[in-house]
Amino acid sequence: MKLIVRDALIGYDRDKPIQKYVNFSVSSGEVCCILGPNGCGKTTLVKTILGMNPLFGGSITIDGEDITKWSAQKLSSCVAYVAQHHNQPFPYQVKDVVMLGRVGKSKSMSGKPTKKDYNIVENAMEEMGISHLRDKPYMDISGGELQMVMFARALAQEPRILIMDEPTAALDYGNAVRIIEKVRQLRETGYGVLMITHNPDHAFMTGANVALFMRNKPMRFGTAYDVITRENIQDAYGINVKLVEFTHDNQEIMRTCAPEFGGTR
Amino acid sequence: MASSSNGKKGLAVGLQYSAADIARLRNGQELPAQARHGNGAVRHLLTLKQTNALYRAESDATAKRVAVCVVVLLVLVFFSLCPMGAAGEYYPYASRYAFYTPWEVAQCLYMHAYNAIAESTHLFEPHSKTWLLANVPGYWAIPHRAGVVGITLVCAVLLATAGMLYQNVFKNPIAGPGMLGVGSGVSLGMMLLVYLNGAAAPAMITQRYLYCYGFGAAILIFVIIAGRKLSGKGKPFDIVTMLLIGSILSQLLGFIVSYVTLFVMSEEDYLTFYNLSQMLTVDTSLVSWMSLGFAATISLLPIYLLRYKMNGLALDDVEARLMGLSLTKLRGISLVCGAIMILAAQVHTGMVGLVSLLVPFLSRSTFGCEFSKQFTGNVCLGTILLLICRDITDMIPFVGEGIAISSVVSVVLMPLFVLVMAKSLRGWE
Repeated sequence: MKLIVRDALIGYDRDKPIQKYVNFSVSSGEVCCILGPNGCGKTTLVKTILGMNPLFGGSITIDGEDITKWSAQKLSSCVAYVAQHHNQPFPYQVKDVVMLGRVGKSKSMSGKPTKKDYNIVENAMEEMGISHLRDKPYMDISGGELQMVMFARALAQEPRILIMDEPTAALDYGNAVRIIEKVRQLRETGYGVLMITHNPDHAFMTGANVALFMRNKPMRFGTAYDVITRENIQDAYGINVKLVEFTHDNQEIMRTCAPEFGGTR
Repeated sequence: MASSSNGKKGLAVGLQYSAADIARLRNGQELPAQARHGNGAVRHLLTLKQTNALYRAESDATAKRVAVCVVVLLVLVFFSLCPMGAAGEYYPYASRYAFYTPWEVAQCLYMHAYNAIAESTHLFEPHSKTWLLANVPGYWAIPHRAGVVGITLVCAVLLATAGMLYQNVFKNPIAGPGMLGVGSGVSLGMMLLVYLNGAAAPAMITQRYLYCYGFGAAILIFVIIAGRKLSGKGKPFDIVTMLLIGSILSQLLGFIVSYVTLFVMSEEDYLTFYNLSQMLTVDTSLVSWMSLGFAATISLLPIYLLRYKMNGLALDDVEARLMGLSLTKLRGISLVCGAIMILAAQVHTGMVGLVSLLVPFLSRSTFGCEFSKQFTGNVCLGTILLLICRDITDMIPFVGEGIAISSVVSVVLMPLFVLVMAKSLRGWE
């Protein structure tokens, strides 16, 4: 399954688009990282893909079909969304939270889960490694575990493409690395992942394509090695970085960004 | 379009997909059937049987709690059938004011059944009135008490469910229903009835229901329509607009009712209005049952039918849309059904706000937050609590008519509320 965004005009108002001529794609088994400074339209772009904002130009297609015409039900069977903030009004148990991913897809009016739904929910929790939390109220678990719960809920929808809005935003270093580990695993399983992130290193860690947005210049799309260069980071974020390449013990080659301090911005 | 929409199924959770399958997915091709359902390399994961066992254990736990509540409720109902002796309940053909022991109640029930079978099947002779009067004097009290108990049970379910719905929609554990202004519509109807008919008002039962339900429903329809017209371009069902209109209306109507009752009505009419609006006696006529049954059915049935999807009220708008749940529809149905429930409960037992606030809280801590379990819990706990309060109300002898159930509820439930709050505060620490 391939999600292609071609020449899209993103914004809240037709006369004042936030981003023009957005081009990128995500397919199954790939990760695409959306990078860019604050306020350049990353979340607006994701909302447009999800159908919450109107698309003012260009096209967004999945396998050739224009998804702006799709109903929410149909879109939810292909694409799952993990939000950035999760408010927790009542102490629901984790297994009920994950079950919400199945309730919307249910054919019956009441949304009563079938045995297969229960099985899928249990397997999703097992896959995310949170089975031991299934009866806990989700207000009592840590931030990293909560993010895993939201991943499990997205997986329970059985989508092909996962869209994540800053999954590591509020997490500590260890939890952030664990989330990236899970994203790598999901990619190997065959999901397509579209991830908004603020850390260019994540693109290197997940072997992703990068859609780099900038405030007043056209966006760039390509592999992480092509797009994350010293010049592009200077254009997008206004800081200087040095790209460092090293080899892990398991022969995996990794690049990372090291910011330079003390210079003029 | 149709052929490609068939294949847009996601990856099954927990299956291992081979590199060839992933390449197929990338090219937009569909996976062959055996890849979708297992190509032999299924990772870890629970079988259907193991999952079934897990969930059966859990539903057993809920069933046990429900069974305990049902047993307690049956005992309470049996006890409540004893006419309580308060407020001078005097039944025709009874030789004394009533306060019967459970043994006598059992005898009365047996006699009712005996006579019913005798009259329908003609196998044996039913007992005559004189015989009953001499031996089973409480015979005629039981149907009235059964009616009172029945109406109390139904109203308890309505109040508790309305409280739960409003708390879920507003995501606020202390939200209470009655925000849409239907309560003021009921008092307006009551006031008009007394104003137009004077002392004859308490006897006009059918008109009472017509006025109260009519005005309450009119207020609700007005709030919905005005909310739709006045809300912004995007949302057809803006909750905040509806709440604002509801609260303005209730203030306005409250003012009108107070003005008319205090300054325009005569003293006796005011007393009649006050007694009527306090709901000191439960009306068990056929009209009452029919209207309550109708209102309860149209409000409880949609909620019951949507009980699993209602869990989605905890979600954000964006998340819910992407899961295939329509939050505006769920919120709209919840608010409207909640308002109808409060309307019916207020007309039949008076506004008992504490039940709507406390019972969902209790059932959340004992039965769990999940909507269907909380619904069951509300039904069980709400009926027990309100029936206890009704019994206490009927047992306290008071000058004149008696006291309203809402005062008893406050006195009885407030210590319980404080206890639960203290326990949960300790739990938070």
